[in-house]
Amino acid sequence: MAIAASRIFDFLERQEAGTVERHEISLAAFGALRRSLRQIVLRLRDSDDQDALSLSGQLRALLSEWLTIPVAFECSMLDAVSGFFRRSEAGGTRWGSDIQALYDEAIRATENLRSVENPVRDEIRLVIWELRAQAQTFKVYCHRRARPHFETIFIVPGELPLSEDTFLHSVQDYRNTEPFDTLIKVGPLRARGWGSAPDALLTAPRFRTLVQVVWSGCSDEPGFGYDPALPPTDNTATDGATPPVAVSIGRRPVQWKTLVTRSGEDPGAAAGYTPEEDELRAFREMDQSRDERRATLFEIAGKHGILYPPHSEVLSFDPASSACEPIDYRRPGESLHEGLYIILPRLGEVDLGGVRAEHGHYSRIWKARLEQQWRTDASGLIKRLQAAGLNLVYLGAAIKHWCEPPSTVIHAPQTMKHFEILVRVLGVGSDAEVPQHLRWGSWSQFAWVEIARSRGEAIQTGFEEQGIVDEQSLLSLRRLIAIIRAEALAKADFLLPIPDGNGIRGEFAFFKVYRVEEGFRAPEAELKVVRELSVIDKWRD
Amino acid sequence: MQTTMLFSEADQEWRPVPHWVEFLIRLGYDWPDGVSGQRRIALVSMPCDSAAASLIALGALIRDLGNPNANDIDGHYDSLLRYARQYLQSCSLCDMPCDPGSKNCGYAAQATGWVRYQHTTRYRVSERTSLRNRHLAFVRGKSNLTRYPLPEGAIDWQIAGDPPVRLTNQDGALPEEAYGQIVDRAPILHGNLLKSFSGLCLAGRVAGKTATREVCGSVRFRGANGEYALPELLTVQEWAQSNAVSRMNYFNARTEQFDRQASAPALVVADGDASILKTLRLSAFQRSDVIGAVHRTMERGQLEAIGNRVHGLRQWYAEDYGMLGRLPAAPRGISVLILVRGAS
Repeated sequence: MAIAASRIFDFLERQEAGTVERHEISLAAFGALRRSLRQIVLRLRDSDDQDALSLSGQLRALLSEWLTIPVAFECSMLDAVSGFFRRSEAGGTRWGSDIQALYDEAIRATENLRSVENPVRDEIRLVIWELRAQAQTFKVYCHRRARPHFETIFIVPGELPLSEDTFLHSVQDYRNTEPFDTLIKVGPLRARGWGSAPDALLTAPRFRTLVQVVWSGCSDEPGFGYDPALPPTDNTATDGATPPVAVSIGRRPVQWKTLVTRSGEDPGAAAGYTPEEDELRAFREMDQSRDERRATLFEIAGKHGILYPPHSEVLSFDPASSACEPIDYRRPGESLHEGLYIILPRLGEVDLGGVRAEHGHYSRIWKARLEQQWRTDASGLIKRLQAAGLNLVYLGAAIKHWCEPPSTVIHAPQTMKHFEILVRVLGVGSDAEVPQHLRWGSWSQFAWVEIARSRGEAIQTGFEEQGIVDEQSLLSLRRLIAIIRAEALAKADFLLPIPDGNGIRGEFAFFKVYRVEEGFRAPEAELKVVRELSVIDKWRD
Repeated sequence: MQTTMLFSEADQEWRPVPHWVEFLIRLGYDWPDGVSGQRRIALVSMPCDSAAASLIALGALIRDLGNPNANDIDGHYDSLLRYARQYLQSCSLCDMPCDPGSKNCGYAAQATGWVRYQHTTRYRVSERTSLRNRHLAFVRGKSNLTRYPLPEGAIDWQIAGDPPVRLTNQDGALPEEAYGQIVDRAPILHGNLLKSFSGLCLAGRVAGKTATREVCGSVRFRGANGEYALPELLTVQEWAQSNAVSRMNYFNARTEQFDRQASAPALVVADGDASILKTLRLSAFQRSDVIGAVHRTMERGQLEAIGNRVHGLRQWYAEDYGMLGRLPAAPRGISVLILVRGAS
């Protein structure tokens, strides 16, 4: 309880009504980009082609990011779009002329945006200038990864940078903050997914004014400002265009007064300009028709994370000396939280040749070749991989990431198809190098199993019941508690081989949880496995 | 309520008791004592983390101090018999580490068989106890000295780990002036200040008893005769050295254990989302009124878990507007939902 409750109540009592200042921004070129990308995402989403689905997911993540984060137009955003289209020259013939036409429209819009400053950034700058001039205290609520985009608005000569304590990134940060004057939020008010924020912004305000800067068409989530003690309401009855203006709290509700300011091109006046639709809502509705499960992200080291569905029983370690049972199964949202370690048992009978003696046996071989080729001819390597069909948005950055030596997780492409292309282009790993007794698979297959295994996709053969494995894992780990404590003091992530005589073979991988975030929907295959955060972004609600 | 006391939170300066504190104490104080037979469930949602549950529980405790039936004396012999039955027929025969949840033995906690005579001498339930004839027998250590308590003398005996049923002298009596000032003109029966009561329960935070106590410990009251920390006023066992009797049964939501052998409480005040969910799930509380206090600075998933659970009860319960109408206006930031089970 960081803040005395009386301080919060005194603040609320003094405040008759809060104000939502909603700044809606329009820009024809950005609108054209949104429209074309949205249609590509929705059309590719209906495809049976895995590449099309993957591209759809990547584009969706990009567009969602731009709608909720004040990115600079001239930087990586435009490189990402143009890079994506460059690699998709065959798109028209592969996915049809309609997609090709949308590509062309997006490219034109991208080029038009090159010379323009993002008006959302302009608006934030103006708002903060004014707040500073009035000596008002303010904070910015945003995702941790959005923070540099706010900071760069003020990294120019003569500007006062935004201080560390300006930012709130989680409901915990919000809970522990003293009352202040103004909160700045980019994007619509949503409880989950891209640009999400706590319902408490409206139901338990710590500020007098909420300045919300949004792209036109982006409406707040119906029902945002949820209070479990209030009667259920019919959310479908609201148009979602503005936040709930009066949140009923007890019998003296906190009143919210909403002031909307629209700037930029008038949608009715610009030729060929049509009002934007709400992409974030469209994407969510698209998800709801698919077979995906709600999930919580547990962020671990190395820009990786693991998604767990609700009510999962997660094998975990609590390093606190006061922990009653340090090794136990814990539930996301209840007892599994930041600072604890998730334990992934890597058990099984799959003989990977050298890998049993040495974690990362195959990966050391292909990574050495990759690193050598990247060092000598990076652009040539990118071209060869693209020509072979490895069409990732940020391929250069991905290759650099894959070059990192194997640790608890082996950094590698996310799909087997991409991995096989990589191995083929590198010309590494002849099948003749596979030991005689393992000739049932190719070199790249064994290397892929090694990667999958490091991500928790262990093939637990040889056990009839998962329950037996779980129980045996728990017993084995509890016997090793002294070693585990010593390892956890020294490292955030570590591997622990299972000693003989425990009835199971393999190792336990320990991952420290750095952050917990709700608001994901992912297919079954993406749950409970280690994935890069950039990949997990695709499953953000 | 118009309390004459001063209030301090988190070592800040003394001030008149704020409206939010008065409201929560009043909610507990005005809570019906169950004579209507209609179960009530309430959810109090707060704009920040606070000692809300403990303050509601304090109000209910003061209410019970004026109730001549609010003591553990009347059913004490039956409690001893239940304890003896559990020990003789179940716990003494069980060779598993005690985990009633896994064993599904039907009990909430282990009965060790130990009892105390006049707060000091230890005895154990003897096999000479006749459950059929309702005759108890306790044996003292190796001496084999056996005593056969009668119902009228049962209050000299207490189950080991439980608070004494009644103090025999004024030492250790609860401070009447404190409770009488927190709720001005609250009727308090002097005899109740010497007696324990288990019909009121505080279900602590799922983080554990220490975490719950820490939150309570930040709240203090000051009256004409001295200062009183909230844990001391709540009389939870082991929370304050000065408390000899305890008028608050404590349920540890982490371990799912009570701090005493007692039958189902009439009212449970649950602190935090996880504790509320457990309270509504466990069979031990299925007949109890429940007041849950939760703060709203949580993730949507946690808020929805509580909201869905409570609003899911609406098929059997209706909103108790009458009760809400009797309460003073809630301070800005507090939402209260009270559900009452339909007449059966």
